[in-house]
Amino acid sequence: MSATIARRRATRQAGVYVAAAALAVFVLGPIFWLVTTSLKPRSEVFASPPKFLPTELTFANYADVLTPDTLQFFANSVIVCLGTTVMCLAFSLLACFTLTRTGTRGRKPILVGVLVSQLLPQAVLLVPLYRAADTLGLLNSRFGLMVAFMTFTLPVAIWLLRGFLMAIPLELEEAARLDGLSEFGAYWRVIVPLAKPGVAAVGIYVFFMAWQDFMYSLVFLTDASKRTLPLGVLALIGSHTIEWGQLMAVSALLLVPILLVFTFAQRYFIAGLTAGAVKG
Amino acid sequence: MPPTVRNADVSISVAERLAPGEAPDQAVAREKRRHHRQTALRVLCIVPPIALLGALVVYPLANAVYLSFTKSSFINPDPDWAGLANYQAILTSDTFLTVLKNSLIWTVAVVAAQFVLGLASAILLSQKFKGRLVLRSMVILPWIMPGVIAGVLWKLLYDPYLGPVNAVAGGLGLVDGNPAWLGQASTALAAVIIAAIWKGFPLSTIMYMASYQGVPNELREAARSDGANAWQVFLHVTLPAMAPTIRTTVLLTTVWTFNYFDLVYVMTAGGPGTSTEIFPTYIYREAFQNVRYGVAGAYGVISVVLLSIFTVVYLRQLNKSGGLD
Amino acid sequence: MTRFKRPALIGAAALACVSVMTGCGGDSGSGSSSGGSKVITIWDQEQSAKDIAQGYATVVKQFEKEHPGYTVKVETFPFAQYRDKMLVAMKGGTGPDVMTLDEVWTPEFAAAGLIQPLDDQIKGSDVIKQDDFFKGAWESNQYQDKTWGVPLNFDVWEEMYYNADLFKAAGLDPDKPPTTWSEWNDAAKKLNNPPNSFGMGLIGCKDESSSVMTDSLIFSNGGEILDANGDAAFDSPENVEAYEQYQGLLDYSPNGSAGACEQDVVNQFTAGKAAMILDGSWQQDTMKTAAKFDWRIALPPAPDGKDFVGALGGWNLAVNAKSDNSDLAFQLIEELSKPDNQAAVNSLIPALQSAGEKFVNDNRKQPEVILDALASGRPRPASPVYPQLSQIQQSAVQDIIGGADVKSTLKDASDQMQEVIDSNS
Repeated sequence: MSATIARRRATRQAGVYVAAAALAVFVLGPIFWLVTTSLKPRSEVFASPPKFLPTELTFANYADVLTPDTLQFFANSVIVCLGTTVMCLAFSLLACFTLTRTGTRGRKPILVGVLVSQLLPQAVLLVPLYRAADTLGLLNSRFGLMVAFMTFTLPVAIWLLRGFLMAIPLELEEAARLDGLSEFGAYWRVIVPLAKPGVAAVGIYVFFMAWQDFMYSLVFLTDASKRTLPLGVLALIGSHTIEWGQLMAVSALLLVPILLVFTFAQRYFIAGLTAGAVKG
Repeated sequence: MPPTVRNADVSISVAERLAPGEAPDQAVAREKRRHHRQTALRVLCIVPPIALLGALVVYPLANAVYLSFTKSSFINPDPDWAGLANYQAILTSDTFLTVLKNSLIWTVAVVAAQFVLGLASAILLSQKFKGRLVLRSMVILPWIMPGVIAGVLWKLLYDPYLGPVNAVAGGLGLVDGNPAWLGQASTALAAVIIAAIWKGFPLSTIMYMASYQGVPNELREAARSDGANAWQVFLHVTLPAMAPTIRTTVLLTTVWTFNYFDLVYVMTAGGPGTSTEIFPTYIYREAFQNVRYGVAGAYGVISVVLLSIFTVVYLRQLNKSGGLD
Repeated sequence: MTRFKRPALIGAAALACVSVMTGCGGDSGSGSSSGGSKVITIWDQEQSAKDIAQGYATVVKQFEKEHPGYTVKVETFPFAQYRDKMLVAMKGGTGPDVMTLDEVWTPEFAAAGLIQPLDDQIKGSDVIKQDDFFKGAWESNQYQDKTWGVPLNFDVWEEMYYNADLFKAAGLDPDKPPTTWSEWNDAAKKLNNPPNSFGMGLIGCKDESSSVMTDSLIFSNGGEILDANGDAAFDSPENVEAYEQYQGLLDYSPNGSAGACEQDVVNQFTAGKAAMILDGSWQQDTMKTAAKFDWRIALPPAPDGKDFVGALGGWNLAVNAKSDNSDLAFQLIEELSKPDNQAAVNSLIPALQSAGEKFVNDNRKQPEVILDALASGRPRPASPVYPQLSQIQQSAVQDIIGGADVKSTLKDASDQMQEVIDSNS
């Protein structure tokens, strides 16, 4: 291999590391501040000049927030978000069967309609949705919350999923049909599995969209035992004071399990992607 | 454009082969029955999701439209018909112009930056380097953080004297003194925009990463062997292959950003003055603080109309390039 | 093959519509969310102190013992979202039997018919006696000659917190904090040593704290927001002077007052950046853990020749107008209004004079200053449109921070306030 190519490769690799470092600083800088604040005693949270590392390391904030309530809220969040993901994926996979057939008339208006349903600002949605949920007996129930989450997860899921499914070459479906599969069979057994990385990506998207919500949880749930974690976090922001250390500690904890889930999902995600790429 | 155009008639060509010993007209009848079944199935699949969405959204939308023609307040909750009065008042007010201007700047800046940053980081994270997997997992963190927390965190970062932003920027000689990024009308909007970019771009990264890696390497290899340089390969092979994902992602981030409420609400509540007031924060203010559902409804309708216009224009472009097929 | 499609789609739309109509068409108008008559619910904002939940549990246990067959459910919500939650629930015809209301919300909830007057029940009560409460706390329940709640807690904006170490360093006597506005300005100037430290930390962000904090300047100077007829009087000469005083102090305050909320200013103080701030007695808990210097409080300065007047704040217990159990709801309020119980469910000063004074004496540094400030206080306007008036005031404060002319800013704000008042009368 010639020296120029080797040198070019080295430069390129150095560039990659510089860019990666810049990205890491931008993304993780604020997270670093969150974590370091969570490890400071109250008297050090605010200092001038600011302290980048605590001089007096404390885990008291974590001890304070790791209560049975927090764990309950966490479990609630997991249940609601998983349920939302399953429900949303089921509905959007169904919809996408029809919406990926070019023979379907009215598919464009439906797609546009789906998107328009996403345009409403939340402040306008809340009161009517609350009344509807009240009438349907869906208030104060985790299932009701999952249904409410469909307002902002389902339209996006349909759109994204359709994109992933449309990217699967048609020849593959034709081949499956020639092998004797029905139209839906070909969709379900051949196309959808091939789009697994896409389905996983959409699933992750839906899960985390639901994970962040606090407004619907606030409005739809009343029992403390059913609340999701973001609401528990908000409790630390009081009328006159904010429990900074605890707030940062519980926020950090909020990220950890999700990070694990994502790291795990990513392995699958990447494996799926490579498989898809080879077949494409 | 995908290499093969999807077409329902493909199925006909498959089925039109005659079964052994079957007369052509029998085959046609069989084909018709099959078509009916197929149509019924397609309808069956689309109805539940659409019905659910309709149930969730049609009533609130209709409700907002109705309320926008009425006047009510916290203490006089029964809506009185007001005709176009709310719209008239809004469209002639300075606040509306400010909100409109801020919303446009906010949306365009955040979406553009998320696109560029998302694409760049997606490509970066698809390269081989040490720590790639860790960074890939970490990059998602801002996006999964609840917006309210992100807002509180960024407020801490921006604190003029006690936050790290000025400490770092001052240390590098980038700023002079202790500018209060959120406390002055000239910089507050830019400051919340940066926070919003940070909060939202990982979504674009994930989408683009999936799409980038879905581009078959053979295509790139072929272009390279034709003598294209890296930039040309990117521009003429990678980017067109990613186009469908990019179109969808940009559209969705636009809608999402336009309606994004949490960050601004926590960081500035629309202030100082009205310098960071955008549609969702202003609608919230009218609906929940002033409890003027008529005004909130009218702002809501205007905001939906604006977004719809954008969406329609965007989709028309998309349609021209075949993106909706 | 496409012939089926259009009707099917219309059918889908119709189905959606039907499910919506049946879902939401009728006015549900059901009673309280407690549903059955055997559960009493009470909502409160989440208070920061940890033992509040324990306090409620004790009271509830006592109440349930005295009222066999009934259970009490206590639900608390984050402060910043508490009003939203309540609005949506109560507008939707649900909500708790008993709720705590910020005293500035009480008139609007009353005017909207969401809570019920309690005069008759109070008249017949052995427990709740007007005279037992701080006068200012009781007055915050009065709207249109009726009593709409029972005070739970009470406090005043504000005392002046000051950093005695910085006073000494600036050659000021920390035992003699400024008492008049001109002394205040002098002290702020002497203490001002940017960027290391500043004379005065000032709240000015877009929330209620900007209104209530500057109210005390207005009140001290003899001004008011609304006059006796309930009309806007925001642009009076007294108010102009008060806001000119505020604007003048900005010269000695850290950058970015328009973005500084209560917590930010407290942080400036505890970090030693601001030598003086104005805030309520509740911040003493924060000071104790966060301020590593000799901090003290004083009655805030008043205009030369006048006395300081604070702006009152606090929370009331009110009964949902749609409660199925108003009698029991009131009895729960009575239970919560016994001195020990009231103290147990409070992280602020209990509204009963005896419990309140005990609380201040037991828990606070320089209690006499706090009691003086409390005695001076006046409530914010008891107007059903107060939240809207306050937002106009907040905008005016932010304009003034931005350097706008005080007189014309207040004139504009006053006109806007009058418009809101007129359109709601």
